[in-house]
Formats: sequence, structure tokens, C-alpha cells
Amino acid sequence: MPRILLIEPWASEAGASPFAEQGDAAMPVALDPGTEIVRRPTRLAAASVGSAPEALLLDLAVYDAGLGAEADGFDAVYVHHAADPGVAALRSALSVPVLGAGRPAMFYALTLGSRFSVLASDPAMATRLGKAIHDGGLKVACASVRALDGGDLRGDAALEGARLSVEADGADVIVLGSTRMVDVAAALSGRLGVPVVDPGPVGLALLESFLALRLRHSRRAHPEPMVRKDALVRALVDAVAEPRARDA
Amino acid sequence: MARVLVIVPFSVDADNLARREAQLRAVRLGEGISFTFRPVRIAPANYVSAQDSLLADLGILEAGLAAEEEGFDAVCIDTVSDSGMAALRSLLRIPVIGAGRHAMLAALMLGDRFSILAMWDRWRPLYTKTLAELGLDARCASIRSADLEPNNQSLLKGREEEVFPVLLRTAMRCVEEDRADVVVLGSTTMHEAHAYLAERLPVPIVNPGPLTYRLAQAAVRLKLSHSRVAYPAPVTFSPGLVRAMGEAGRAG
Repeated sequence: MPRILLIEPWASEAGASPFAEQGDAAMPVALDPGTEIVRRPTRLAAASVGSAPEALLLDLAVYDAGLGAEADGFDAVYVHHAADPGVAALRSALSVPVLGAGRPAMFYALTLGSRFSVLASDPAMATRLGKAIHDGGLKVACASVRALDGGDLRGDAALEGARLSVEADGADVIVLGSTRMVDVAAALSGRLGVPVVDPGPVGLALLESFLALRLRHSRRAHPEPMVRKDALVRALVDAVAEPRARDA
Repeated sequence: MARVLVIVPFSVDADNLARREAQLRAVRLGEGISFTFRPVRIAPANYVSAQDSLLADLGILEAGLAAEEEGFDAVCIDTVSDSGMAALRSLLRIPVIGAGRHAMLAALMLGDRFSILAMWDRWRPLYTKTLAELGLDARCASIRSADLEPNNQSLLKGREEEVFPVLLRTAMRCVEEDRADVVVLGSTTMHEAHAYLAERLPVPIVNPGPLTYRLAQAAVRLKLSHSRVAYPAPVTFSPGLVRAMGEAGRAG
């Protein structure tokens, strides 16, 4: 049965992982019996992804964490982050399916409705996700991107943002702009009259679906590097990372 | 045990129903989910005109409108045309999965541009409708057909040697000339060619029927269904009226 490497790009922030308090058994969605998830934090952590240099370093951190996945016997890689850091680079290097939690959640939202709004965890994330929407050709289907005030991830603040997305912006589906908004997803569920797409569980369910259908990303869209630079990537991260066990 | 209703968009005999059910073998689903394939009672002869779309919408609505009361947890519509999907979504709170919409969106999770591989050109309006609804026209590299008349009963049986190589050549043109990086099979009636094409193409090829079965399972697990705002409930609607049409449809 499939072994999935789950990369947690922000795992150095204490308590930030939705799985951290509940242990490995608590996955955000029911999985196929036999699916094995191995969680791996990145060796570098970024507190924000709003600016280009921060996003770049997070891309590198995720690439470093996942580039050996195929050699390590994993059947797929899941990047548990709504900005899809490192996904493009990993797709170029790996032949096993690689999926992030961001763009797939937006496409999934369009299976449920016709216009989605993104509720971002903070203004920096809103900037990054706005770019992802633009680059993904999804502007026409996006009603708005709203950032929660002061990064307040509690339910009540989010409820107001979500209401405005539906009533003022015309969204018929809400996409949460972070995999750390599990409490928000629970608080909004059933109170809005529109579906709420929580990118973490949705991405994981989609990745399992692709595995079950033997589908993986297109080589034409994600061409392989002519020269792999694994050792260089490792050395770059070694130079600045704190020593830490690779697998959580 | 989750129960999924799969609506087969034509009236078919037992053998040809089995040819539809064979799509289940193309995807790993595991235990805990069962699929009931149900042919419609109202159907066009094929899907090439607005008349056909109208009858298909009605037939699929009729076949699925009681799905929730019958205890189903999700509905899959076994046609890439997504006929009846909007009407059923207005009536049902359980997920209603249309093969066309879901296949195109799944393709964009795997690559940047997809082509649709059809049996014949008469199916083109089915795809342009969904592309327009999604606003994703620019992401469709091409719609190409093999220029072969389909058979919605026996599917590709007995025609493998004639059809498969033509489909492969056509799909390769999508990749090489149109720069598609994912191909979507243009009909669930083409599923018997999927394995042949998947082995030979340099890009992923989406098999829409099996995809919907797995996404139905995902939707049930995620407890996610379509938006009530996007698909508002009717103000006045009589299921009895549509049922009576279904009875009449059996005759014709």
C-alpha cells in the first residue's frame, strides 16, 4: 500500500502543526486502510511567505526535504502548505506524484461552485495566494482574497470575513488560505450556507485519488532537470540549518 | 458503508450495463463503498444536438432525483457532458459528481494545459459548454477527435484494432502539435481504450468515469458537497411530474 511523504514546511514553529498535539494517528481526513503517512519537517522554516525572498527560501527548504523521496521508497509526496512551496521543483525532479495543498484546493472549489473566495491567514499569505490565483489563470473564477485581521485564526474573526466573501464579493465557495486553519474550518462549517474547502484534508484526499487512478503530474508541464544538483541543495541547507532528525 | 448511485445516461441491457460497470476496475477503491449503476428511462439516441442535451438533462434528473431518500451518499453522472448535473445539484444535498467538470479540473492539478480526446467532432459542443462555465478556455490546448462514430451501447468492443491506434495518433497530435501536457478522454464510453493509451502516451491521460468514483469517495470522506448558493434549491418543483415523464419515457 502507498507510502506518502508529508512535508511540513512550518514544523519548527512550536505547536503549529495541526497534527502535533494529536500525534501521528490524527490525519485530517479518513485515509485508505494501509496508506502510510511519514511526516517530515523542513530543515529551514519560514515564518512568512509574503515576499519573494521568503518564498524562495521556503521553496528550497521543501525541495531539500523531498528530493530524496523516490529513492527512499515513497510512492507520493504531499506538501502540506497552501502556497505550494517547492511543489514545482519537486515535480521536476520526481516521477512519483507530488501535490501541494494550495492550487488543487482552488480547482477543487470549482467542482463545488462557480466562484470561490480565499480566506487567507494573514496579509502576507493573501499576497502570495493572489499571485498563485493570477499565475494559475484562476482570476476569472475568484471572487476575492481576504486576509484575516492580524492573523486571528479564531472562528469568530474568520466568520465575518467569510460572510463578506459570500455576501459582498459573490463567492459561492470559501477556500481557506492556510493548512493551519483547522479550527476555522470547524467554526465555519454549516454556518455560512456555502462549502468551506480546507486545503489540508482536500489535498491529501486528492493525492490518494491520483494514486488510486495511477495518475501523476505531467512530465511535459514539469520537465526534468538535465543535471540534478542534489548534493548542492543539501549543502546549501546544511550550511544554515540546525541539526535535526530528518523524520518526525 | 457508503453507497454511490452511478447514473448511466442511456437505456442499456445487462451486458452493456456490465461494460459500464467495468470502469470500477480501473481505480482502487477498497472496502466501505458500493456502487449502483442505474440506466436512465428518458434518453436521446446520442449526444449531438440541443434536443439531445435537453432530453439527457431530463433523463438524468429523473434517474437521480430521489437518490437522497433512497439512502445514497453521492451520485456520479456517467457522462462527460455533465448532463443533469446542475438540476440534480439543486435538488440534492449529497455530492453530485459530473465526469466532465471533474476531469478537466483534475487535469489542471497534473499539468498546465489539457486536450480533450473525442471519438467524433459532433461531441465538441459538450466540451465547449463546460469550458465556458468554468472560464478555463485558455487552459484547453485543443479538442481533437478520431473522427469515428461512437457506439454508446457496446462501446469499443470488437473495434479495438480499428479504434485504439487512431485514438493514439490523435492524442499524440494533441501533445506534439497543440502542446497539451495532459489528455482527458472525451467520453466515459471510451474507457476501454484508457489502459492502451496510458501505456503509450508521454503525458497523463484522465479516465473520467473512474475518476468520478474515486472523487465521490473523497467527497464523502471530506463531508463536502456542492454550494447551495451556486445551485439554489427550486421554489416550486414537483418530483411527481418528472416521475410521470419517466414512466412515459420508458415507452419511447
